[in-house]
Amino acid sequence: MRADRASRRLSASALLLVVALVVGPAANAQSAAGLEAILQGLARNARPVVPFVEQRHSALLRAPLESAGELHYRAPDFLQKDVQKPQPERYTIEGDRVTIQRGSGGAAHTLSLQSQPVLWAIVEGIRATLRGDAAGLRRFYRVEVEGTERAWTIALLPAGVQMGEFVRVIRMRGTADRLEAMEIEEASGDRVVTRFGVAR
Amino acid sequence: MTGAAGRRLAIIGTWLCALAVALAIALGHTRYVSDLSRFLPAAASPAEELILAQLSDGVAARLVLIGIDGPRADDVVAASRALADRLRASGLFRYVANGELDLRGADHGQLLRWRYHLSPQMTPDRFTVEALQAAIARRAEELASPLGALVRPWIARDPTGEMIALLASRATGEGPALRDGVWFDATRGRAILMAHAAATGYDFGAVARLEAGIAAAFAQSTEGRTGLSLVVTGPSIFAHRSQRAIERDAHWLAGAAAVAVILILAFAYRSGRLTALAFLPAVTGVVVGIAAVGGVFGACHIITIGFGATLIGEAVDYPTYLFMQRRDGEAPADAARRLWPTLRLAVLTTVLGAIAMVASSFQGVAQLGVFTLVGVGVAGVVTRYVLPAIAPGSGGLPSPRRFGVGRLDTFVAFARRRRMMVPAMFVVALVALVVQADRVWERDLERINPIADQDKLADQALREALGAPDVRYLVAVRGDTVDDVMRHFESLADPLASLARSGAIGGHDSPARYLPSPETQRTRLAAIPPADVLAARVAQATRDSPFREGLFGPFLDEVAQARSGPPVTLDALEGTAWRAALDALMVRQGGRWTGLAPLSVVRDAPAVERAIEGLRDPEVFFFDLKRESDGLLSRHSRRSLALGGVGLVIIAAVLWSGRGAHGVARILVPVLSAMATTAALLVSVGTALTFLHVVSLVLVLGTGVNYALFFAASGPHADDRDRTTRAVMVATLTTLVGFGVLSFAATPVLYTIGVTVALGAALSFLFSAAWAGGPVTRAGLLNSPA
Repeated sequence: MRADRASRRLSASALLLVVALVVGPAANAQSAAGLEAILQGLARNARPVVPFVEQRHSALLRAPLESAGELHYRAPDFLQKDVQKPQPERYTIEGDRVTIQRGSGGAAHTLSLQSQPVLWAIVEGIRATLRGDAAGLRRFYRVEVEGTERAWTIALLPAGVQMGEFVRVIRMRGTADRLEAMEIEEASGDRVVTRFGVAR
Repeated sequence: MTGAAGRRLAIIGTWLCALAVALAIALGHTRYVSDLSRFLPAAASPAEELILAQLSDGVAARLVLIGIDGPRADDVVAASRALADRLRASGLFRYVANGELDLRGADHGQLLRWRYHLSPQMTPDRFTVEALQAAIARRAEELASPLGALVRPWIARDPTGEMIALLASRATGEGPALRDGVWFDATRGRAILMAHAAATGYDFGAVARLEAGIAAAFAQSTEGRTGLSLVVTGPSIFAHRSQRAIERDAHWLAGAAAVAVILILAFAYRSGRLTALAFLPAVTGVVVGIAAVGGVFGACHIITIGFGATLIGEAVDYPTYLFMQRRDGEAPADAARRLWPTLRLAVLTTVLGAIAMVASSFQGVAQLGVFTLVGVGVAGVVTRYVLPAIAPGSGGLPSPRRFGVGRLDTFVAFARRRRMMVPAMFVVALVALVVQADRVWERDLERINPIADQDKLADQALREALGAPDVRYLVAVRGDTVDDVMRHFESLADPLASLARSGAIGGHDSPARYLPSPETQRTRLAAIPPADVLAARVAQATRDSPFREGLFGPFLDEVAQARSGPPVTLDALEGTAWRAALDALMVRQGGRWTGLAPLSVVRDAPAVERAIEGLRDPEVFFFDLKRESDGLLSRHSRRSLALGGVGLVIIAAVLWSGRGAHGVARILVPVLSAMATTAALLVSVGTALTFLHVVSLVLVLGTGVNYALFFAASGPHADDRDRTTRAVMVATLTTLVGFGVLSFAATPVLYTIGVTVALGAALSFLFSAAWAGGPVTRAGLLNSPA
């Protein structure tokens, strides 16, 4: 993938293009192996409950909005975002079904994940990453891997038009077999940074 | 070339030319319409006009309900979304709903502009500092949620969430249970969609396109998903389905009837050539009849042709009277000349009787009248002049089959000795009809063309799951302008709300929900403080929020625009879901407007009616659509009966001029007795009479008069009498077989016509044989009137 990017950046130069074509295939194979290895490590080491702290950085805001809670995951497709601060709010996703519960005693509201293409793509990005599913990621994103296997970044670039209207890139950052943070960079310029495993 | 031959050629040439012209008009210049509203009667009152408009073009008639069934709920839900998208894009519908709150709809730009005029949440305390603080805090929560990216674009311009509230008010106003955002009937595992067709309800061409469009969209929406099936219901869909069933039945039954009639005629005439000629008068009559209807009305209704072909069935008998009464060796031309006085009377009674129908306010009946008048008249002329011109001499023509020699006379004599049975049956039948007077006429419009049971069940299931108003009860308000109507509806909000509180109704929709009156709009906008005041409040509310200062500038601008701008009007909403709802609920008639508020779950209709009448407002009406349409039906049944009376008087006058008072009694007694007996038999076995029975009995009248005329005119010679009996018998048989076949039809329309005509024809034959020849004396049958 690194070579992909290199070849694009240098495509103006015919000479370098030739070089890139020669080197390309080998380099490509190497980075693909990197993605698979990272994802396999994540899947092996998936933890059912991880605390998280999330910050939204936005031009609309004076200071970032912060929330915290726990992320529950069960392979292959159960995901629950249990927000505890500032207000309790729970998003439960199972298969295509999203259940939203605000407050503790409030009525639950359901919707279909597929009816919200943006949310769907984000959720699949997280679920596919956690279960180590490279093909699942590629359904929604162009995937680029940077860094080393010790400190890696998986960049997910939306493939769908509608999602592209809202999300520029999602970056998953981690060390070895641990997902440490997710950063969603929105088309509006907002960034949502979620750090996992840090109690606030 | 002799003079006779020249005359023959001239006749045939004229006939061919006339046929060609009529064909050209029928094929080239006549529009064929299947829109049932054009067949319905012209409205006699504004209320009737409204009912007719509603029946053919209203909310109820345009409603289409769609169910998607399947073993996996997720597939069903996904299919519902895909199908709704495709149907919205198809242009076949004004409005498609499946429960989704579509925030990205193409029409929301216009609604966004008018959100402060349209939102029912616009109360005076909507823009206090506290309310603004609460709303802004809510937006912050939304922004922090996983759906934040979707909400973000709206925050700066709509911090109070007016737009979402507006869209949600529509989505939840009529919603059943949701599953994953779409309407879902959990007990059946079925997703439900509701749509308003763009075309009028009973334009069958448009409905056919609608059904095909839904089926195609469904096929595309379910690609890759297995086991999904589609249910589509709705008044227009049902009407179209029964029309197609009639066509299917009619095609093969008409074929069977034609084969049977041809066999009978070939057997009786003993000549293939004459059998072929026998269809010329009726075929010419149909073609010229269609051309005449096209010429008079500009368009010919499909139903007119269907029923008209029934009424013109009489014309098939004309050649039979000619060919079967031909004496041995007599040329058809001579026989035509000899029999013409009676045949002419037979033709004239029908032609002039049809004038009564031409005068009907029922556009369909008037078309039928013209069709019959022209078609039968032409068939008579063709029988008299064209048939003899084509087959002038007797050379090579076999004599008609002489069956029943001796036995026929015995039978007629037997019947004539019991001729008093004929008026006796008439009296008995009338008594039977009077006794059962309350059961004579069908009052239920639906039963004229009943919906198949499975369709009815499917429709009920969809409506129940949807909680859809079975649009039967309406409150209507009339006014000179749209604004008048809206004001009026707003003043009705309280009475209707108290009816809802008392449980008489579940709720109601109202046009004023989608377009408030200018006063209400002004009141709402008055809740908006002056720009500087609002700016200060927003600034204060923003200080306590995580949002940056000055963020809500776009909001302040748009609110100020709404505050100083014009009120929203019907035209301003063009292209939005709101306009679609308004189009369904607002009817323009003769420069005035009528607004409709459908009531849902009506538990106590009389209480609603009392409440509305208690308002003593001449512009406010309560409508029970079913009661009104049923009333319309029985009024028109009675009107058509009155027309029948007029027709009968005309026929009696024609007979009087041809046969004298004595002749009138000879001819009409058996026919009226046969018609009354037919009606009484049908009613006694539990059949309520409809327009279809009336049309059928009109044919019975036409053919029966002919039977009686020929029986009454049969000469003193036993051979001639035999020939007449045989001719009438063959005519009766062809009618009996031709229409009897229809009684095998599964579709009620054809079955009704078949049974009624067959029964009436058989009775007419028996009664005419017994009565029309006059009493039998001891000397035998020789005293027949010459």
